[in-house]
Parts: sequence; C-alpha cells; structure tokens
Amino acid sequence: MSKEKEIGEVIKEALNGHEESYIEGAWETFTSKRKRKALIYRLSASGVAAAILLGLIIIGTLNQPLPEGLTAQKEPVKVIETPQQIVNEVPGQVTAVAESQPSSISVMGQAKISPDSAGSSTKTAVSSTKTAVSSTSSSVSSTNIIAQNTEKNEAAEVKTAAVTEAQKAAAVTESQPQTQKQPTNQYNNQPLTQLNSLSTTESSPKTSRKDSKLGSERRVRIGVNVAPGFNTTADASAFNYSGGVNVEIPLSKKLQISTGVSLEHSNVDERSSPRNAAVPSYQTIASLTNLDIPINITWKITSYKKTSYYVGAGLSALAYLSENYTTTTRTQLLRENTSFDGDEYISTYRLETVERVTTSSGSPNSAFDIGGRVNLVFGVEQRLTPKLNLSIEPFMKIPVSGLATKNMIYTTGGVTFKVTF
Amino acid sequence: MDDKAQELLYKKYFGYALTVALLYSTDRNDAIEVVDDSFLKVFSEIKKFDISQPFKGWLRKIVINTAIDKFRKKNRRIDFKETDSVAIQDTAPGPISCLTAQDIMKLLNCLPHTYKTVFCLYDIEGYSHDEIAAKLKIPASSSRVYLTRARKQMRELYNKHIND
Repeated sequence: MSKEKEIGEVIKEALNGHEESYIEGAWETFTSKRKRKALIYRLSASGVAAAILLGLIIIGTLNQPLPEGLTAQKEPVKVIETPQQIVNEVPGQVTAVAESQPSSISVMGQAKISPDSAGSSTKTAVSSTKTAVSSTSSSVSSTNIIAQNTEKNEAAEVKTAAVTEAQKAAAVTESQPQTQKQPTNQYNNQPLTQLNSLSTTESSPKTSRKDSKLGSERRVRIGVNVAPGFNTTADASAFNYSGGVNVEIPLSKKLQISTGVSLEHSNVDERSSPRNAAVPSYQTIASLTNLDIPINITWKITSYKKTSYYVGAGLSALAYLSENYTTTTRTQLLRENTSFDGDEYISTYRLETVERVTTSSGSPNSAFDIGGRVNLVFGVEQRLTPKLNLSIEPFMKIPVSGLATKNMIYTTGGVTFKVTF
Repeated sequence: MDDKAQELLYKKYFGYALTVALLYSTDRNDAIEVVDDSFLKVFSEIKKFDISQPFKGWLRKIVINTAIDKFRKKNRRIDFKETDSVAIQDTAPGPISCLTAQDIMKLLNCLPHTYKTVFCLYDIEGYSHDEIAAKLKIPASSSRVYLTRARKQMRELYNKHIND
C-alpha cells in the first residue's frame, strides 16, 4: 500500500516542476475560435427568436376569433330555418332528420308536430315541444325523449298512411298557428318569407359595415423612414444611417409583411488581434453605400386606441453601390545599425513600427448579399391622424455571412423612425 | 478586461493550463481544446476571482472541471457498473524515481482514459473517492477499482519502460 502511495507521490513530484511551453499561434487560434463561437451563438439566438416569433404568429393566427358581426348574423338565420324544415318536410323525412341530428333537441320536439297534427290535434305537438326544450338541461332525459318521439313517429307513420293529401294540407295550416304560440321564438310570429327577408335585411348592413372597416384596416400602406444606428464589429463601432421608402402589406388583423427599399451608408471598423506586437497589426475602415431591401413579417402584440406594439423578423437583401476600404497594417521590425569605431565594428538594434496604409474600392454593384442579414424589430406605432402613423422601431440586423466584397462581419443596431400613410 | 490583458494572461498561463489539461485528456489536441474552453470561462468569470487567492489554483480548478465535463460528455453512453473493490497484489519492484515528467506523461497516456482520470484526481489532485464519484458520476466503489487497476497498470508500464 505504501508503495502504491509512493507511485502517486513520485508522479506528483515529477509533474510539479514540469510545465508545457506556449504554442505559437495558440492565442490567434483562440481568438478566431471565440469569434466563431460568438457568431454561432448570435445566429442560434436569432434563430430561436425567429422560431419563437413564428410560433407566436401561427398561434395568434389560429386563435383569431371570428368577427362579432359574423356570429351575430348567423344566429337568427338558424332559428328561422328550423321551423321551415318542420313545416315543409313530410313525416318520414322529418324522422330521418331527427335521427341523424340527435343533438338538436328542439328540432326533435318540433318534428313531432306534423304526424300528430295529421291525426288528432296540435296540442300534443305543443306539449312535446315544451318537453324537448326542458330536456336540454339533462342529456340523459333528452335521450329518453328522443326515444319516445321516435316511437310516436313510427306510430304516426302507420296512421298517416291512410291520411289523404287534403288532410295533410289541413294539418299544415292547422299547425302554423300553434307554432306561432311558442313564446321561445319571436320570429315565429311572422311568415317565413318575411322572416327570411328580415334576416337578410338585418344582417346586410352589419356585414357591409364590418367589411368596409376591415377593408380600411387592411389596405396597403406606404411610408418613408430614416434610421440612424451603429455598426459593431468584435472590436469597434462606427456610425451608420439609412433612409428610404417602405410598404406594409397586411395579411390579417395582426400580421403584416413589411418591405421597401432604403439607401444605407455604413462605416465599419474592423481590427484584428495583434500578433507579438503592442499595436494593432491590422485595421480596416470600410465606407459602404448600399441598398437594403428587407422583407419582414411583423405581428401586433397589443393594440390600443391609438397605439400598437409589434415585433418583427425577416431577412434583408443588400446591393452595394460603393465600397471604399482603408487598410492600415502595422508591423514591427528589428533594424540593425552598424558603425565602425576605428577597427571596431559596432552594431546597434532598434525596434521600429512600420505602418502601411492601402486604399481599395469595390466596383459598384459588384457585391450582392441576398438574405445577408437577419432583421429583428420591436416597434411602437402611434396614430397621428386617421391616415397618418408614426412608428418608432428599435432594430437589430445580424449578418448571416460575411458582407460586402471583403466579407466583413458586423452587426447593425439602431432606431427606425417611420411615417406611414 | 481588454484584449491586450487577455492576451497576456492567456500567453502566460497557457503552458500551465496545458500541463493540467494533458493529465485529463486523451491527446494533445483535446487538451488544447480544454485549455481554450477553460480560458473562455476564465475571461467571462474573471470578476468572480478572489484576488487574495492564487490565480494558478483557480485556473487549475477551472481546467479540471472543463476536462471532466468533456470526459462526462464522451462517456455519457458508457454504463458504469457497481463493482466491488478488489485488492490487487502489489508486485512493484520498488520506488520509482528515475522518471522524467515526459516519461510519466507517456506512461499515463497508456492508461485507459477513465483509469487515468481517476488516478490523477486521487493521487495528484487529492480528491476523495466520494468526490471523484460525484464529479465523474460513477459509483464510489468503481472509483476505488479504477484507481487500484490504474496503479497496477502504471507499475507494469514502469517495469516495461525500465526493461526496454
């Protein structure tokens, strides 16, 4: 056991004094790895954000309630159609309807009217209707009633086999006043033709008003925008500004596509980490002018009377009109100065920093980045006048890949001020 | 912490971190990866570092934890079975003292990764079997078995090394 311990101790002692040496280029590899990781993190974060946004949009679209006007206009039509069926259908057909739709209890009760009225009186029909209406409170009792009704219908079918067409007509005319006595339906007091026309005349103004309202909400809007911001690289930030026109195409009440075109001027400052030098060894300052064509989907989170809040995400296509790069490279050189003091050869060494500045420019329209940036937007829209809206949109534009001719990676952030009409 | 300071810190302690990482990694590339991941943690958590404590100790802990995280990820699918500790006869020729650090590293790399990790955690870092069990998510008895086997194998490797 003591020998076992000895192995451990000896190994520990031997390793205590031992240290690996620095591997040349390890720091550079580390910084590039870190940048790559940061980029992957940003991309995955934006991907997650876009996925969440898309999910919210889908949920929002699926959960959108029907417009109130539409549900209101449907109800009276339903009530009016039911008595029409009962009066016009022959008994056999009524039973079929009743069996196929067991849940519509009111129909079942009323369905008994015609066979019973054909035989004896309409009082039974009234009472059965009442029973049916009262049975809506319990599903079990309503099933019993359905069974009874079906039995009675079968009996009535046998009875009505001998009934003449004239008697049927009489039964129909007799049952109509009885139906009118039902207190549950106010529309039953009027003739069917009148009711139908009433329902259409009542619902049509509402629908047209709603349609016109929706139409006004869903019109395509155009606007102008300006957006000051910053371009940020891993080491530095620089000013950026853009301006242009935008078009907003509504898809639904809460969802819209926002597109347009804007002229953007960007300054990008990119520096590389030093390699064995006290000064930055590489710095590129880019001055870029480009057209930015974004396609964003925006979703209204909440809407108040005059203000609404929304989020958006999408992609931007970039076309570069002008690209100017100024690259400064700094290197350190060890210079040897030799001099002779009589026969003696004297050499002195001096460390010099050499700076080299090169300028280059890209030809217009030589670089395009289709889907080059992911746009993330949060906005507040304020209605100034009925036809004029002001939007303030903080935004973030994350590069998907290297941008422009020199594949620069920079994130743009800022605020868009937008007026739409 | 600016880039220049980070670079200085990285370059100064890279060798030390690599030495520690090599004890818990299967090869040099793995160890460099562990070192890089450790420095990422160091730079992000530097505010938590207690200045009154030695930096090397803090860095060592971070490197070991990073290496163990990596070890756990690799061995996630390996089933560690509860095994009884078996006493193995010590047939060592005597104390070993003529080995250099490089020789020891070579010998350690001949051990299976789990044995090597347990051996280093117990004999070099001074962790108990319970602590090793918690860190590696293996039963404590397995840790004992791995340590005994690692020591035995180290002795055999030493004999072979001397004879060659």
